[in-house]
Amino acid sequence: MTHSLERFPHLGRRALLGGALGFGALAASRTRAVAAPLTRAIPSSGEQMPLVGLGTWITFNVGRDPAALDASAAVMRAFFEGGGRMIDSSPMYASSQDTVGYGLRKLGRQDAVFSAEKVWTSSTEGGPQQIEESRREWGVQRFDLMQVHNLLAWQEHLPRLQAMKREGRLRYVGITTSEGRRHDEFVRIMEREPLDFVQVTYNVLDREVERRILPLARERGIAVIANRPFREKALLRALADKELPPWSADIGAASWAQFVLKFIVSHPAIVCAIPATTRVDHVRENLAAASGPLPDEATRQRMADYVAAL
Amino acid sequence: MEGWSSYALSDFLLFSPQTYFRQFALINEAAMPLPVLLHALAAALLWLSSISTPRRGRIVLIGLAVLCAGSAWLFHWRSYAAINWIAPWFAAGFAMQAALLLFSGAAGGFKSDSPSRAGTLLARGVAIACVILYPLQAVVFGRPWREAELIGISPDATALFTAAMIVLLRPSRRRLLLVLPMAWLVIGLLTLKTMGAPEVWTLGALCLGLLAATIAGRKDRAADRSAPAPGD
Repeated sequence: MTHSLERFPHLGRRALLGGALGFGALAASRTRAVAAPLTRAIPSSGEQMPLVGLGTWITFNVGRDPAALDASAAVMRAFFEGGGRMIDSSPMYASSQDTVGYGLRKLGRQDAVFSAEKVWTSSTEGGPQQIEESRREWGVQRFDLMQVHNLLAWQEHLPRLQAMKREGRLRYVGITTSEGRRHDEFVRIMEREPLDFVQVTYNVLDREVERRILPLARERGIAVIANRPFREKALLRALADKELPPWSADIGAASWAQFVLKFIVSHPAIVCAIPATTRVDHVRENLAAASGPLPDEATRQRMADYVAAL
Repeated sequence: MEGWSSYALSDFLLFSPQTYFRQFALINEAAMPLPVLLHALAAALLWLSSISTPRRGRIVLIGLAVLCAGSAWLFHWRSYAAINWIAPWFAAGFAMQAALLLFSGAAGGFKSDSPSRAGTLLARGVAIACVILYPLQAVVFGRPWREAELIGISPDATALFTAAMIVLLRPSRRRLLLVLPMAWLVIGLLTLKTMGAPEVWTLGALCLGLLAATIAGRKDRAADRSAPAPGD
């Protein structure tokens, strides 16, 4: 294994105490979870982050449907029980923020979440108002990470986010893009601005970021979040009827989802991949990809070649 | 702005097909019996239009205004807006269509030339399909019957029915009255196609029927105009 990885210390301590001291039913239910996910440090702070998070694009936009809201809360419960922390959303995702807020309030886990949000407005003045609305919808005291969504009006938003960070109203600042949009400009911003995080599309087929963005992130000490790990299900659908290679067991991948996620999070620049799902079994499966062995560089190349050949 | 131009249509499809169709179940449940009454109103309007008189035509236009207002309020504003932040604009479009229909119904005025037989048949066929087939497609495509798309709620069914009835009735401001329903049908088709929903085939086929009805009507009227008058 080539990467420096640490266990999620918070859950580890909880498990240890729960087991050794015979804590109550609540602690026991939380320690039932599978092995805590592997973590990687956020370069700008050293804070450890579980390698698999939870995206909300499409899956959490359920409107006012009570059944779907409860189903999303169940996904979040499984996510937290499995040691997950980062949940990512955006004002662009319609009711997804309300759904996250509903889940956090229902589960009482506002303190457990690493809240990753975005500002998405071309209005210079509208940014702070949008961030405040998002904060109210989440029901958190402050966001951990605020990102400029798809670089929209980044020249106006970034200075403001940096100021909010200095005032302690945010912990981290970042920018996002997806599906290869505006990478040249993205790189220029990474080179010039003091960023804690960048978010890009990265998976076993979408590897363009390996060329410039991921090496630059390592060089500049910027944490990378990988979005669209499954190309919004399309990748898993395409792989569904294909055989996993026999050597996938060597890296602990029991499914295509785990195979793809292990490829992503084994890149040393990636701090968190954020697959979105509506299913409890899938969130558990995704989190399990952040445990056990991770592929080394040679195996990663073999994985990419294997999928490309299918 | 460069930021906006980098988006594709699929980027603005913020919900899954399950969530989209689930909106119909939620509305049908919450607003019952209103959705059934609105659909029954559509059936009654279709029956009324079978005998073409100016008075009946005006009643039908006012009835269509009620259906468009129903879809604007119950679907776009109260339900769809929760999962799609563009929906309030759609609600405004449907409300505007309701106002246009109401004005047109109050003002009256219908084409007095003989209607095209082919155009009439096709338009009536599309309207009948909206009343009978559209609610059934939920079950046909494996969804729960509670998700039935009823006229007066479903924007696709409402726009299609409204457009077919306008082609059928031939009110004097026909082109103006067709603009918004036709625009919605394009949006509806793109939404279903981007979601990969099989319902796109039903809507697509009925849109073709509507288009054929419009073209047939125009061709027949052109032929009427060029034919020699009796006694020439």
